[in-house]
Amino acid sequence: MDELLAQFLIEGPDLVQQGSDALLALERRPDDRTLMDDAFRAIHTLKGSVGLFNFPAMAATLHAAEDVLSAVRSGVRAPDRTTIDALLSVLTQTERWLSQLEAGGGLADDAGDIARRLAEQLNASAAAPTQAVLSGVLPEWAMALRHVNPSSGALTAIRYTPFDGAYFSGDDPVNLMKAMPGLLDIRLGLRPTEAGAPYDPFACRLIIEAVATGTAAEAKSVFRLVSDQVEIAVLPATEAKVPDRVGEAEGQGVIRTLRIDAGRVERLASLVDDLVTARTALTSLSSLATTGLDPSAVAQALTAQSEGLDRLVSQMHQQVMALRMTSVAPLLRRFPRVARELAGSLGKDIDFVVEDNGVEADKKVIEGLFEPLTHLIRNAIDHGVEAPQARERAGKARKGAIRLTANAVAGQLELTLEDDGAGIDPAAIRVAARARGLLSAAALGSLDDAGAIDLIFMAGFSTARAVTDVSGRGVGMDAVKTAVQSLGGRIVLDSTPGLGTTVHLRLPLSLTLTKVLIVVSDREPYGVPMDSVLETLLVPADAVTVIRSGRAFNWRDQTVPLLSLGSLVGRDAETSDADLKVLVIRVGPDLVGVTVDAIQDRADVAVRPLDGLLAGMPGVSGTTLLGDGRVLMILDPEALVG
Amino acid sequence: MTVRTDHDTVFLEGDCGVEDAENLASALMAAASARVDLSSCRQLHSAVVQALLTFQPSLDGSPGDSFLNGFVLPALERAAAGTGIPSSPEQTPNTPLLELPE
Repeated sequence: MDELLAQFLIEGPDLVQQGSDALLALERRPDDRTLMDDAFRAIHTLKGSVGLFNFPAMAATLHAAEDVLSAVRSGVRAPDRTTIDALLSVLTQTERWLSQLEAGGGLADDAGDIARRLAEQLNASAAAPTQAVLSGVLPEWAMALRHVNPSSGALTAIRYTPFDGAYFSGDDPVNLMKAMPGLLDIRLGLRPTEAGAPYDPFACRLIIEAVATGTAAEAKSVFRLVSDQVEIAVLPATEAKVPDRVGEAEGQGVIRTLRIDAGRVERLASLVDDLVTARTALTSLSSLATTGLDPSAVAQALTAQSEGLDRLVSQMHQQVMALRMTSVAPLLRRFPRVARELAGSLGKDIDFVVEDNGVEADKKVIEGLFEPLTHLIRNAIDHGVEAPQARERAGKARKGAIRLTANAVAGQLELTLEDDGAGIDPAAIRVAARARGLLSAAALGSLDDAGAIDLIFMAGFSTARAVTDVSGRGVGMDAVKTAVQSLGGRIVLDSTPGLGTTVHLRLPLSLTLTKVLIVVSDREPYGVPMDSVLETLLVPADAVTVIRSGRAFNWRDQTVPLLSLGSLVGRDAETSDADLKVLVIRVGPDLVGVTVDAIQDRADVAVRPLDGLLAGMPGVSGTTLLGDGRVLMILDPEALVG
Repeated sequence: MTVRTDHDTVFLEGDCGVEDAENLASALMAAASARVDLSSCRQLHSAVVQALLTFQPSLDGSPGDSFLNGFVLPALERAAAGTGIPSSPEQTPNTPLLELPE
């Protein structure tokens, strides 16, 4: 990739973020000049950088946004809601374009259309006369142009009536039309002259009309020097276009590059130096061994060397893992903009507060959180927070409050998303689950309220009465749960009807070494995280009670259900007439016994989250490589049993 | 020299600037049936376009320039055919009142 472009792709997202932060703050403090300047600087820099490459749609959009912001700075335009909305949409789109460029292959084909729509949105929030034109009150001349250009897309109509003295002031009105992007057609006419006057070849009497696919903003910029002689109208598309869904196709990858504190690289470099020294020592040791030195002395020296190497390797592992630790702040800071856009499209008003508390987590974990969090926030805004009128009736503030907090708790990343909306009604959930045939009436009756609320995590569940544009399009909470689990995390929902909903996500802060117990079932090894194994036992076959189709055994005066690892992972169940090898595992608040064929070692392993084909495989939280090169699947007992 | 008259044909050649508007207008006024050949024309200043629009001579040749050929010529032809920008009722653009300043 072009070096300049690579640099731009690193800086671009930061600039987008700076711009949005400033704009969001500007909405609260509309008179703050520093915020205006910050937003302007970010967009100006973006525009300048885009200008280095050939992305006309992106450049034009940012240019138009810059014009609007400079009008705001000079006080010509107020930073009102529509203006901020339009500017934020430009930034959101810029971010999408950046990720398209990152993926390689340039901007998507619809870039021109999107740019046009954004430019219109920027204009729509401008002066009132333009607004009137946009809302369908077209001047007669523009109507005539629409008539002769029956194309379906939105077009820009231009009517240029140069002054009499235009030629003297050096204007060349006809040729100025060349500069208009996407020119489709020109019509020419003459203004009437006084009857009886001789023809003056140097008095301009032209009327020029044009239709172009370029935007009104582009037209304004082309004709900026003769703006008093030009009328511009937007000819709306003959078929209404369906706007893009908000926030779609966004943020597959959040942090594509990693910026690392130079100190960390220094420490790594010095560790590598030590490693080189250790290797040299080993080499000299092996040459000593060939000289017929006392084998026990060689063995002793080897052991010492091996211990040193061990220490180095584990330090390096720690350091490298630390390199992957990045702040959650950039991830969280993206959401206020997303939330605002969503709330706007649903006619709701929200206050979105983000607290990152300086938490750092593994890059991979952070990357994987954008989608599930976006979905949860969508849900909170769409289904949680009530419409302003309903909130007033319920005695709440018109504005809904949503708070997204990150904390590091006991070595885990805890994300909490709270809203003060309507909450989840367990009764409604029961009705919906029954209607969708997810559970029988009897099973539903035996569920407590918390259990009923948990039903929303089941595949195929959605209580939204109407499928809205924002959420409720088939991707439900089950997808969120799967995404969180694939990162080795847990999701818990807590809701009080009328008061709001809180979603807790708990994830590993880092994917550092995990202690696992290696067990074997049907000749296949599996890793079970040690922290979920309470005990390993031998249970005599006759101590197992058969209860209907299941089995149970007695453990410390509790009856514990007994499952087979082989059947859980879809292979053959363990068959043994002798004593059963059982792991007692904690699954949430409950205990479960799991039979295995053999219990082997404990090991410290670096668990890699599943990706590629394996991603989303139920019951498996990741993989690791064993010393002999085999892949060990690390089980997630909770997902496996639950 | 970008305006050249040969018999009844006025040749507009190369870049026709604002100063050519006067020559063209006098040539067209001198011979009402004059034709204008644009085949080797690269650019027409608005003032020249205006003269062509006013006197509506028959146009010959197609210039190589895409803007001239694709936009300006069709616009002139449509204006001549009466499908240009409609003129106001009191307006009589097609009967220029001529008296050339010498």
